[in-house]
Amino acid sequence: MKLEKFHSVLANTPEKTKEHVKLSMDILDRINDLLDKKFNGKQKLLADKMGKNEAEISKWFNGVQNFTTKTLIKLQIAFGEPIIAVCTHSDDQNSVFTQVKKLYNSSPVTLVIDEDGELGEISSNYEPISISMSNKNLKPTLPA
Amino acid sequence: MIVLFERIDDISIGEIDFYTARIDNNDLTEFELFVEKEFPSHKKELEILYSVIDEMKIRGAKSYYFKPEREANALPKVTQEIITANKKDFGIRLYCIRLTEKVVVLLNGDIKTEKNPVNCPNVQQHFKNAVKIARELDRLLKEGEVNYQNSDCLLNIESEI
Repeated sequence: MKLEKFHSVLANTPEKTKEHVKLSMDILDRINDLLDKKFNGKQKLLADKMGKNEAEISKWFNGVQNFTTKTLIKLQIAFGEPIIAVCTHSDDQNSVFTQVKKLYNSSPVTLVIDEDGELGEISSNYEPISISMSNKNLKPTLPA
Repeated sequence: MIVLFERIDDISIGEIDFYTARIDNNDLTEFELFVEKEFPSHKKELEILYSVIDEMKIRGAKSYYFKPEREANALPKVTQEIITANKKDFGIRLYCIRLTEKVVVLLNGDIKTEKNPVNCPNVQQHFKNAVKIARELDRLLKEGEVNYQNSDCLLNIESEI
């Protein structure tokens, strides 16, 4: 099939446009998941919770958008769950949980070098969450 | 109109199978005819459109990625800001049919110059064809001739509409 021009446009698309599309689609997937989970998929119920009319919020569910942090915060408050995650310092003494750094819709890859010096990749669908214990009397129970 | 459905193997990777249609034994399929067009005044919109199609390979074809256009659909779904950057028109429309999260038929399109696609000389035929083909695909499903849950559901299916 004659698709050279399709591949050429994709290959020459600026990185910032590709990243914009990816992040917009990540957010779109996330807010639609949360809308299903928290408001039975009904934009009207979310609009009521935010004190807005349905037309005002429907634009957020329409394809590739430019979300402001203010809008994301309003949505996070209405959903009661985070929409985007930010990588934080894992040695932050104030945090009980180290923030999960896995990007939505991505699979982390661990790079390994074997004894012959060959570089390889190990993919997994999860990234471990480390937990710091604030009470020294508590001991983690590990499976045998 | 005789329509032969063909899978676009080049981009049917991962989560999704993209199909297109060859109308009346034309040399090029509907999606090839679209890809061959130049849109110099809508460069960014075209880049977004193709990037969204590319992303669907890992995300699947979620319904909210598409604009409803009667029984058919259209891409891209972008902000008013991007659409109004081209003040003379309503932006690019690639007519398509989203059958499931894993099966999409990409057709033809152009720059839409009128609010109602039926009044737009550029897209009216593509819009009408998309609606006709969508109705035919619905008929095939209802009569049990195809099952859109199968990835090869439209492979070499021919219909006279």
